Amino acid sequence: MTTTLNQLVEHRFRAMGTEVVVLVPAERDDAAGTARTIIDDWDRRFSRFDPTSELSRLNATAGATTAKAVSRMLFEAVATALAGARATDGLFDPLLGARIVELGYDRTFERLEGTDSSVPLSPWVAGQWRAIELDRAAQAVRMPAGTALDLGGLAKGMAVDAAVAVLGRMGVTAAVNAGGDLAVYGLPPGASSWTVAIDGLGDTPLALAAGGLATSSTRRRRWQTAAGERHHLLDPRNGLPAASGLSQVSVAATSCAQAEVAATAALLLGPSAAPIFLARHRLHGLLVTDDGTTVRV
Amino acid sequence: MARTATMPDPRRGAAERRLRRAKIVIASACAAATFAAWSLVAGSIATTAGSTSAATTVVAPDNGGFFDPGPNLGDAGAQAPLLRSQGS
Repeated sequence: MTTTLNQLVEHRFRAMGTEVVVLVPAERDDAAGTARTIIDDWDRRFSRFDPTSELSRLNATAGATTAKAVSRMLFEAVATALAGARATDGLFDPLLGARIVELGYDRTFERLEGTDSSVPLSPWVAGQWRAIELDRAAQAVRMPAGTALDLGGLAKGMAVDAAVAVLGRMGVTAAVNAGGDLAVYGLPPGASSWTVAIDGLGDTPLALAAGGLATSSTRRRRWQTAAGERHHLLDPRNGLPAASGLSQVSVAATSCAQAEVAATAALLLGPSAAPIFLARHRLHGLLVTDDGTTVRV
Repeated sequence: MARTATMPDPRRGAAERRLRRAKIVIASACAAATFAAWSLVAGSIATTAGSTSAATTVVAPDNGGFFDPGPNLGDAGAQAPLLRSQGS
């Protein structure tokens, strides 16, 4: 679908389990196709619901004695995920794929219905991401047994970063938004920033002049089980859906990948520690507490 | 007389010193017990959380340069939003 906004053409399509929006100047409408090609490539490689995706094939090797050679894209995504995990002392954990399946999120969200949770959860072992081995020379990854990567949010962030970077090299002003994880390059015609509406902030948009923005939320991707309602944002400290007192965190960063990691960590830290965490890293964001109170940082 | 009234009683002074020492011993024991109890709790948290330290529950640590200082997130006033971030 295509519409025009303020001399920008807006393209919408489904990818990565969400709606993707690409905004480019009307005179460079052709560049939107390039962005879509990049996003679709990331989607194909990083889907955990497609058993033939490169991510699924890597997950299938968990516990193998030798590392599996992977594409440069997947290798860099895993390396970025591990850097994010180290930077947050494991609050951002890329190795929650097996646990989220155990909790019932085992197919695309559109196809998710009530799941049977009568089977008790297995004992949770935190911090297994530290056992992932990267061999940069061989561009190979070895994963611990019984684990699976879920790069969902980070992959979306890296995909939109990659798309705007390519369009930027083409000299095209652009914004790419994958379900709220977005990155921008340049500025809209005649404007000093991109205007971004964030859920929980009413109709008052925020201004983002560069970089990326990501929102982590426990309000979406919720599903019912016999044991009660669950959501997709897991706390890697206990392997359960997060309950920190924050329901949503948006963070602006120089890249959407950084914003994604920071938003996840801040949400898990809760309303007292999240502002300290963001201030320490000189990041700006918006926190929404469980009772709907918003806090600008 | 007033001076005499304020002069310390040697026996009373010794009793006060014993009382102070006893208080110090009790306080030290309490502090040690508190520390031991906290260590158990912290150890339990650390065990439960695996490699995620108890300190993480306060604020995640400084990092090896993963995060750059981020752009400002200012107010856009009454402008219409071009983008929407609804959380994923």
